[in-house]
Amino acid sequence: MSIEIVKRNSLPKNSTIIIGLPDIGLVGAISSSFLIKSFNMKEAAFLDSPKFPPILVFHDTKPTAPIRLHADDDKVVLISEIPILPNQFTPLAKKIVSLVEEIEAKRIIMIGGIPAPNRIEIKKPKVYGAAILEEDRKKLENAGIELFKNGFIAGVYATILKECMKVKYPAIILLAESYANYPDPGAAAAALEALSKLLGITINVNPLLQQEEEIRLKLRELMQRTVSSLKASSKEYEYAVPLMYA
Amino acid sequence: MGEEWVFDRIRKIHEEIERTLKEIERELFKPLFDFEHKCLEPLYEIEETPDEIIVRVDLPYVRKKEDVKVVATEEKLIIEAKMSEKALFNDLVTYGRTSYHMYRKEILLPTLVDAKKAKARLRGCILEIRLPKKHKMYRVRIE
Repeated sequence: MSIEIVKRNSLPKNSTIIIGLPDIGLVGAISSSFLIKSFNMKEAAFLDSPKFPPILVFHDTKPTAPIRLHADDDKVVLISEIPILPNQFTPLAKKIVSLVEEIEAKRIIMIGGIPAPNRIEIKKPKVYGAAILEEDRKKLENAGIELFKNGFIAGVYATILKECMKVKYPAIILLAESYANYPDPGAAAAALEALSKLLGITINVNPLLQQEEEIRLKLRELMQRTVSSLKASSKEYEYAVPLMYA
Repeated sequence: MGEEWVFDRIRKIHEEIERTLKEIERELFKPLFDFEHKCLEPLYEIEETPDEIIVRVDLPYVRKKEDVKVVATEEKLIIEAKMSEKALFNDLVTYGRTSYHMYRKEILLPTLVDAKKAKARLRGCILEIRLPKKHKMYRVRIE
């Protein structure tokens, strides 16, 4: 069963689509939520499917769906307040690619975390970038973002990247060193700083760092559910060494 | 007659698996707070090395080691910690529209440990407890 995009407002053409979904350390979910708040991005659409869990969220008395698109003039942010289940990876990735074609988006930028076993020792997490197209890899290097050279990317982002690779669509992923099992606003701040360099926009991450403890405490439930869904999405591959080293 | 012990063993393993699955299900779907005692449940992870069990517990708002109490037995840990600031859930009906200022968690360890030799430290609101395994592993000499 496919996913439906229910529009509530218009989506801007020629925009950049930024995707931040619940994943390692909730880096993507924290980042997308912070972007929406920082840029006062209005809800433009929500995603629905009979296979999604029967959930509705209320924010300041207003009902909304947990997976939705927010937009301003030149950015569209995809946010999810629930983990994406593995059986929805491909339908979601296909829907994103069809949306990209419909609104003639410039590129997709995904934000996620990469588990760092020594995260407790790291003051400022490093951010790695990977891209489908060579020109985007150059963009990453020009922005001072180290390229993700070898290793696996698994889960929902891998599926979106694969769909983009099939149609040679410009897609970038930013991966910040993160705690694997705790919400990591520090990693989200590092990823957003990399995004600001890449897009040439100003993102003040100080409020995010100031609220770090509150975010860690209040996102425990989402983190717990995300960890359990990640276990079913081949995430263990990210700890493996690719075949080229054999 | 001789095969009865095999079926008995299989039945016991089956019961153990059922119990573990029910425990996982219970852990996964129960709320991460105890309204009656105004306690929150922290997130935690367990790492196993050849010699140790390492438990890391995320304790936002816990800033002083004096506010943390860890009790270890051979098979489990009991952690209690007081927050430096109250966590407000006043706008959430499901949390009882109140504030919480304590964490409490009992963690069943994957193997028996030497509780007397356990060590703990608190860094960046993350509590790390290292517990030496009771049955250590020894390298076998190859002749």
